[in-house]
Amino acid sequence: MMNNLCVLPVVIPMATGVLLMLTQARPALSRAIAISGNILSLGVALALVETVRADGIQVLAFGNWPAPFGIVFTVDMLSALMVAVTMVVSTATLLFASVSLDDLHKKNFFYPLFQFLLMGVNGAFLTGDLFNLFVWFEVLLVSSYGLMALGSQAYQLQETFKYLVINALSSALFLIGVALIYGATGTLNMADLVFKFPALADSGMAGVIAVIFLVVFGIKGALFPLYVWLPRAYYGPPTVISGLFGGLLTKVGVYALFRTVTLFFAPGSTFVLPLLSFVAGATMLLGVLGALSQWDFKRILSYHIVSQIGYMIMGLAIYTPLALAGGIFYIIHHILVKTSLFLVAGAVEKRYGTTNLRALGGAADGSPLLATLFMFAGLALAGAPPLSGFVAKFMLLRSGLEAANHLVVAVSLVVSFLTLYSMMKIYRYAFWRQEAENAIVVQGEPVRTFAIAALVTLSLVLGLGGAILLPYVEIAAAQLLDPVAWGTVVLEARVR
Amino acid sequence: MPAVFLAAALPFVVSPILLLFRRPDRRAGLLSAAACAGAFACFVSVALGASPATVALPWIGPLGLSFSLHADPLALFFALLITGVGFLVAAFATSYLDSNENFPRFFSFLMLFTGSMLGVVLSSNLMALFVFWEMTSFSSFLLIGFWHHRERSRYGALKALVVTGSGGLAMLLGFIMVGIVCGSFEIAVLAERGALLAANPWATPAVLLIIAGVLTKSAQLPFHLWLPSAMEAPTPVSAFLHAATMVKAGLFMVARLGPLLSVVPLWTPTLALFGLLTMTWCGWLALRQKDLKALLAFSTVSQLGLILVLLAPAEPDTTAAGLLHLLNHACFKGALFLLVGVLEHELHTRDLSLMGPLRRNMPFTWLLIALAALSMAGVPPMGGFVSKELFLDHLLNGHPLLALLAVAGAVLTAAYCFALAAGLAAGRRPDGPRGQDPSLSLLLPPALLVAATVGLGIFPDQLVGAPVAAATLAATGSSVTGHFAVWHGAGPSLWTSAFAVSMGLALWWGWWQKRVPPASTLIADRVYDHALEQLETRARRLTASYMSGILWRYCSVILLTVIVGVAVVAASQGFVIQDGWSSRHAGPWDLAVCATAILAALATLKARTRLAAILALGASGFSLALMFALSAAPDLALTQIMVETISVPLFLAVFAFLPPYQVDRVRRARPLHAVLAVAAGLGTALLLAASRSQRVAEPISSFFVEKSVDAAGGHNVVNVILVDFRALDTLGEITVLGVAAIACYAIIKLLSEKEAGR
Repeated sequence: MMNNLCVLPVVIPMATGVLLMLTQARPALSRAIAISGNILSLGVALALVETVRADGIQVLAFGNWPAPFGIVFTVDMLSALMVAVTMVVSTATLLFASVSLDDLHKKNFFYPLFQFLLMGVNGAFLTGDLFNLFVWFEVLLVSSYGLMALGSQAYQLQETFKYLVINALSSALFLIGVALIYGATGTLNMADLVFKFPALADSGMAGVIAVIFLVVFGIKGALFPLYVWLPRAYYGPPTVISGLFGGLLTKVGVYALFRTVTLFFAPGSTFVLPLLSFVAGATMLLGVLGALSQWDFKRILSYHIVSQIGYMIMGLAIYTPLALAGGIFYIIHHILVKTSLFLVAGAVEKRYGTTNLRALGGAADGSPLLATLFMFAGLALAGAPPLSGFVAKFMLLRSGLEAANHLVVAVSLVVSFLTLYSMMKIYRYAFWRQEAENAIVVQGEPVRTFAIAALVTLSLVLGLGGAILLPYVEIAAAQLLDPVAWGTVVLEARVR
Repeated sequence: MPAVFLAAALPFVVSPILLLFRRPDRRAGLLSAAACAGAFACFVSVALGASPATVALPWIGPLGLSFSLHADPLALFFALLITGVGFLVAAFATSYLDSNENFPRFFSFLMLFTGSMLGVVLSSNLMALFVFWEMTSFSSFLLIGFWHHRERSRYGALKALVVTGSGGLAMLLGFIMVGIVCGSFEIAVLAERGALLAANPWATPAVLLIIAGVLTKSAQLPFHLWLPSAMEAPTPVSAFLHAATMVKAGLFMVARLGPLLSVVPLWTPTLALFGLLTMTWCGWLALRQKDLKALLAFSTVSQLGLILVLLAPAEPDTTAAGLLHLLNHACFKGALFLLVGVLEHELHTRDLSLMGPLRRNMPFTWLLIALAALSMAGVPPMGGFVSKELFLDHLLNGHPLLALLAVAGAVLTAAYCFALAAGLAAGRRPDGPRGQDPSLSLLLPPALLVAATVGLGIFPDQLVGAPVAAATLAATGSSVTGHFAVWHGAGPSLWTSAFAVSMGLALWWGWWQKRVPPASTLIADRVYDHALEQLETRARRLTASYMSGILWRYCSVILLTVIVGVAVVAASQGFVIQDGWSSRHAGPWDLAVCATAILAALATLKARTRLAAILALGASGFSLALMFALSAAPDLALTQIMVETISVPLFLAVFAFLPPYQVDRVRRARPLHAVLAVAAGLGTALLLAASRSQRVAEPISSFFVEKSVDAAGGHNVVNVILVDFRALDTLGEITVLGVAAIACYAIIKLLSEKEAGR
């Protein structure tokens, strides 16, 4: 069904971003505009979720050029949910940033870059065209380079450069992959590819293309062994920006994997799912071991991003309705929780001037509410009940056992334990012990705490009220598992 | 609102409210005590049948998860125990804690724990049970670490969480396996589907995993290490969590799931064996402690082993005996912990070898300790005697080796109980610290517990006969045959009991009195410390070995992955290149531009300065633009030129902050780089060529050519694609350029501002 609503999550951030470029000099006004824009997009995203639930997959063909020829936005439940959760965390992050970043950032295009990043992220979630996906990736990447380097600290610039080079490499691979697909099938529309791609299986081309795309999205999504760039890159920028990146950006890669693997790479392939299963286990395990080796709040969290992505891929690799639903649940949970953890790190950094665990201490006495929020978020990350992580993990474990994928189930449990251990390490060093001498009370703490509390509350709601989200992720999983129906709807969508 | 729900929810409601109190406000404690009392009253009303025992609470129905509560007699037995002891402990702690302690936080955590513990016993769904089970571990972590500025507290808190948390995860897996096999997570449904489980190959692994959860939670060998370390918690916590309730969650699980899981032959003997070994070995360890809390901790572990032995068979008589001893233990051990707390409070030490003569200094405190210890030793007419008789009865009918272990355990128990009671009476040091009996508010809670254990000895059947029988029926599905009595007649168990008590007396008198043997570090502790240290060290080494922070290594990893991946898949999937893939022959200009691009790329590699490298790279980029121009794609050529123009200054700005240009460091890896580069280049060319040769469908581009003029009104198809057919791509790309521009601007501006500020 054609629906103009589909484009708004891209148009609103773009318009807001352009507007914000004009209001640089007035941070208070910029903040109001940015937050209004975000809330507007959030409303649209929620409307999209409800529309998809009620009326099924929504399509928008740009310029009314019919599906395989023009570009289409295809909004199924996964897309709609991803956009919605993006707008939730970005609003919280924005709120946090507005009281934690200094004018140096705010007057140097922080707000516009932030909005352009959202434009790219939402575009990537919504598009139904492979090359258009590439374009949105570029939009979000170039915005992320800007945000990552903002501040022009030496460490930031170094790491941004590495991040940029690695992403350039991945973009080149992406383009090669796109070229191969177009060369062989003559189309870039994902729905069209659902029907044309399987024919490539005989010549081995399908497998080669799958590998290239797995690597491309594996770099963006930080999968084993391609995540090496992430931990350092996410350490550089101000913590609030790391939070947005940590929660959101890698998940665009994960989303792209969910999308492309279910649409064309997994059906008819013998190696994609076992490979993903192996990669999922390795990503979880090596990520969490990396976290154990660190002594810095932010660095530990960065390694956990990697580790947690393994769980999402585990859901994809098991490839049953429950597993995919669990994987999607996990993505949503993770975006909320990981961002909130980074924001806690940011609030602690604001207060004590460091994120080094050895130099921190006593934050539970200095800021009990923050400690409570961290405890909740940390436990949620480790999959502890009754928070959102538990529901997601339960779905994954159950589906893994049902599919007799014992190895990845065992690894995921061990990693859960190590994650808990690692979170408690942060708690023991940063929140327990004598309070650090260098505590500074800074302005804006209530707003920061509110932003974190909102995300943590959502995690609790998704845990205790998992029944609210479950039907949505089940619809999303069902749509992913029926690519032919998806392709047919997209190709046959016409203006009413 | 049903009373069960009210009672279960009350602690969770009170917990956050308590945080609103001011720090030194003792009313926080009174509110907690009131909440426990209220919950207790609710449970009494349920027990009397005045209120429904079942409340349906949905959670995630489609996944088989619910938060429904079912207060059957077994659950009520535990719930009354939890809220009853909880009330006394909260009342005790209100006067016990120093006025500068953080009362709101302490009692908030305590209520969180109480609620979780009630959830464990009341849940009718296995997964909800697990939820609360884990929450008891987390609240225990917070309570053990309450004095978090102490290193030992943090150590103990972490250890408890590591041990019980890992056991919990094992149990989770076991639960899910059981749930999948039996098709439900509702305990009532599961109880009827034991046959399904017994027939399934997953039964044994699932049961072993659940046993791991039970043993860790109830601190049984070899997981007993966490409980002594948990003694760093404030004493009321030790009394409540680590003697009376939380450590009994494992036992509750055995009672609750016994009928289902004992269909697996492994269940009963494994639990019984671990229980007996723990009872004896930890009794021995308890005897060697000088620290009173450590003594009580090992004694608790040992007693839990005893109860585990009784509950393991899931038969009515032993279960009833187990429940009775569980109740006894909660009373006498809870009392002992509180009294040791009093001693520590008054004398500022817990060291048995430093105590003065207590009988003279603190007569009431000592009397209560002595009575509780006698109950633990199993001396008539105390409650401990009644249940220990039943225990010996059970074991004497079993395997002689097990009976021997049981008797040894009883002897050791008696010995350390005498050591405790008598050791404190006279005191090791006449000049030891002097104290006096504390106020009534501190003595009354332990006194009530002691009175309970004495009462349980004299009138066991009258006091708890009915509830225990009901709980046993609920747990095992059959009724108890006997009844409790302090005088069972002169059977073998009485003689054994008498023998054990006198041997214990002898052991204490003849050996312990003369030489207090030093307590050594637990082997399990050393294993734990070593394992954690190794984990961190190895994780650090492993991570450092590949997280170099060096860009070319990262790029090599990526390229290697893609090249190897493509090669393996191409080889295994029968990749072929068909004929006819060359469509256009290269002219002399093409070759010249190609050569320029290649030379420029080589020059980039050979450049001695960054500036030269960037310029050479630019040359390569501009050759590419020429190539596009030659291929009749002026639009692309222009784009390429623009990109080159923007990226060069950006590179220049960033390079200023990179370390000096070191060609030498990379030299070692040059062969690898050369191989990767050539493989990547050739591979790409080959793949692109192959993709054209394997075309499976006509390209959609014919549509653009057809429609360009009449539908889109443009004669240049490329332009029409860019601004109409695929205008959205163009919008995106324009955004990319615009964003790149503002990003460059912001970076350079901030850099120059910093330069100027210097």
